Amino acid sequence: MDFALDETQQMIRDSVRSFVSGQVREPAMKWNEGHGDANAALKELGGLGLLGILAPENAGGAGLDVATLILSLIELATGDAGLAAMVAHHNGPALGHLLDADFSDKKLLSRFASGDALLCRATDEGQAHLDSATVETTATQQPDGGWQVSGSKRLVPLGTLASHAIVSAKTLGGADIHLLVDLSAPGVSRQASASLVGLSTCDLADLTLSEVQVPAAMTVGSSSRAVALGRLTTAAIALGVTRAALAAGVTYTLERKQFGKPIARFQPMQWQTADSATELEAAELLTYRAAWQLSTGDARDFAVEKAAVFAMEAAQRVADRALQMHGGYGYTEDFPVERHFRDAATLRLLTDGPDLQRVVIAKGLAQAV
Amino acid sequence: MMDFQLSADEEQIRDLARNYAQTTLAERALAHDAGAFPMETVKELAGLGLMGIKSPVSFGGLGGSNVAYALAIREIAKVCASTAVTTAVTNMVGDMLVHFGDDGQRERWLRPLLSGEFAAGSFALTEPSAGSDAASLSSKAVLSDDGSYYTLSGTKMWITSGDVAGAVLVMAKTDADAGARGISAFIVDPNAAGFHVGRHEQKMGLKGSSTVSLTFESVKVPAADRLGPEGIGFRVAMTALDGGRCGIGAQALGIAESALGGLLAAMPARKADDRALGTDQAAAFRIADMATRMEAAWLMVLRACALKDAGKVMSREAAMAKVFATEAAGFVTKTAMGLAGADGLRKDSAIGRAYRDARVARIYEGTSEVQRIVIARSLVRGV
Repeated sequence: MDFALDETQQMIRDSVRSFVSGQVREPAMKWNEGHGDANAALKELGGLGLLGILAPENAGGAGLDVATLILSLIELATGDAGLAAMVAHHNGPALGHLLDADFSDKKLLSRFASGDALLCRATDEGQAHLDSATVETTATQQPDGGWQVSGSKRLVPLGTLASHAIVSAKTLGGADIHLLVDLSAPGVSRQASASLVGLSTCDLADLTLSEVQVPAAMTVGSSSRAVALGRLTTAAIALGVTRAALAAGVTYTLERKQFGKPIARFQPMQWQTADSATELEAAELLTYRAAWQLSTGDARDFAVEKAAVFAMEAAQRVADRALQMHGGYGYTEDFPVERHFRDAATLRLLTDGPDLQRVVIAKGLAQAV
Repeated sequence: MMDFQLSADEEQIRDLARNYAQTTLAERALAHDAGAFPMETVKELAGLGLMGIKSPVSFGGLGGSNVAYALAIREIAKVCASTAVTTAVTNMVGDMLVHFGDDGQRERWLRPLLSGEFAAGSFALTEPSAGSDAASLSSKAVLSDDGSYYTLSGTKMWITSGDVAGAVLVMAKTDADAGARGISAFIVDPNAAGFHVGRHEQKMGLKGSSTVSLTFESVKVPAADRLGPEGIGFRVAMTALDGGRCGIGAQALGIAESALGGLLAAMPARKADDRALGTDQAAAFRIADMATRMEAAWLMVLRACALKDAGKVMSREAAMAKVFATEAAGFVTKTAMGLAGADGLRKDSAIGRAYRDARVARIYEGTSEVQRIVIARSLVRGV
């Protein structure tokens, strides 16, 4: 066993960490107040190669492993979870799906891998992943072999910024199909989704597809890896939020004095800090193990789902404690901790919620008996 | 004999608040959440007597019990938590005038507070360096040589309605060396020279309530506006908070109820992925836990109120009710958000609003940590 990062992983993590210190942490306070957006930062991340982490170098990407993607996302999310969510979505469930399905249009693939164009994956139709089996979007095969797609998707990450979307649909025969849809095609309309409690810097759109024509070559195979990447990248974002919240709580309790001493010296604060640090450690190890599995092959033993459930819920607990440590200040927009608290609650937008993941784990264990 | 039955008066006051909340207030709640102070609403609530629920009828109050007060605050909070906290703080200031004031002070301050002539009352205890350690406050009031007025200096934080209030109850030191016993309570006129309103806090929730800092720059406060004798200010504050904590417990449960209501309304549309493995049961069990915790918390709030109605000391019970009810509200709003699907993540949905509004209830009027200190001290010597 070896828990050390390799040189490349360390280098990428350090470069993202310094990018976050210089170009994310401070601006994030403004982005979340509604001043400016994270799009320029997203572009810069493309320049650093962070929008094609998993894509092979010959496809225009960085050719790195899932572990490196996860490490990068953790760092990014310590600065801004909404920005991290966009990077995670493009690299993970979206581009990861195309790579896994061995998508044939290499030219288009390299545009996504280089970050020249953004890609999203549109599956959600209303129940926030509580029922991913219910897809009402239809794909009707045309005489030329292409498809005509109609339906609507909502809360699609990168929905207004992306040039293309991988759209899930059902054929007339009831089979599942994924199609790469050019979002500038006739019949596509998109509008920004209603504001959510958290992740407010993450671009989200509701898409409506009305008899959109999709060439046969844009058919994308299915990908179980895309789902796993969606879950694991969300765990990574949760970890970043957790780390940021824990650090914010510790910093504040060392500075704030009541009853003549820093409140960090009171046991109730110490216990909360200790519990948060322990939960962070557990969530990190679960996530790293799943990342290691996906970096070296396929996920096993529901490592991905276990990481996602634990990390998402730990983020909520840790952010909640950190906010409590701040007292009234924690409830104001002057400190980032209220944002961590809202972001942590909104993470399940990005993947299946913890309850559904529990079902996946339990079902898997039942089958194994 | 135990009696869980509400009196006719209590039911009447609850229904008065409920009817107003479900009709007029319901139409405005979203606007308040967008940051609009409920000016029209507080005037109308005063018109109904709800700014002085426990105050004497002769002064414009409803003469209700503490139980009635909790019932009314819960009804208002269920629809608009911002209005509920504004209402609760005004009631608290009025209660202190009733309890510690003299007739002259009640005429001068209580009557306009209850009639709606004043938009609100404010309670000013906390300072930048005196939060949970409230007794260490540094605002001071110095009596003039002729004994006719005090000169008040200092800064107060997190003052609900501090910019719109017609009367501000301020705790300040009149004897710097006497610790908590050196604190006195004053009713301060916001129109007085040297009374400055600081910036408005930008909060995660309760956006329709106004939260400001106040600075007193040598404000002249007539000696006649001191509430009770010198040195009882901390007792005034703690008495106010005992009642206030019941109000915050009731408010938190009103918020929780709106989250649970939002979830139950969304449930039919929520489809389970795998019924055989019991996702529905997972949701159902959590809903059962939410309702059970809310019920237990509500009984604790009512018991603390009933003890106060019976004239008993109830600091411990109020602290228990506050910490249990506000933590239940945290659990309920978080769990509802986890179960409700995408609509529950919307910032302006019933659940999204409740999630943001509920969070501060574990902080203000004494954090959960402070409540635990109060409870522990009543049980363990030397805490």
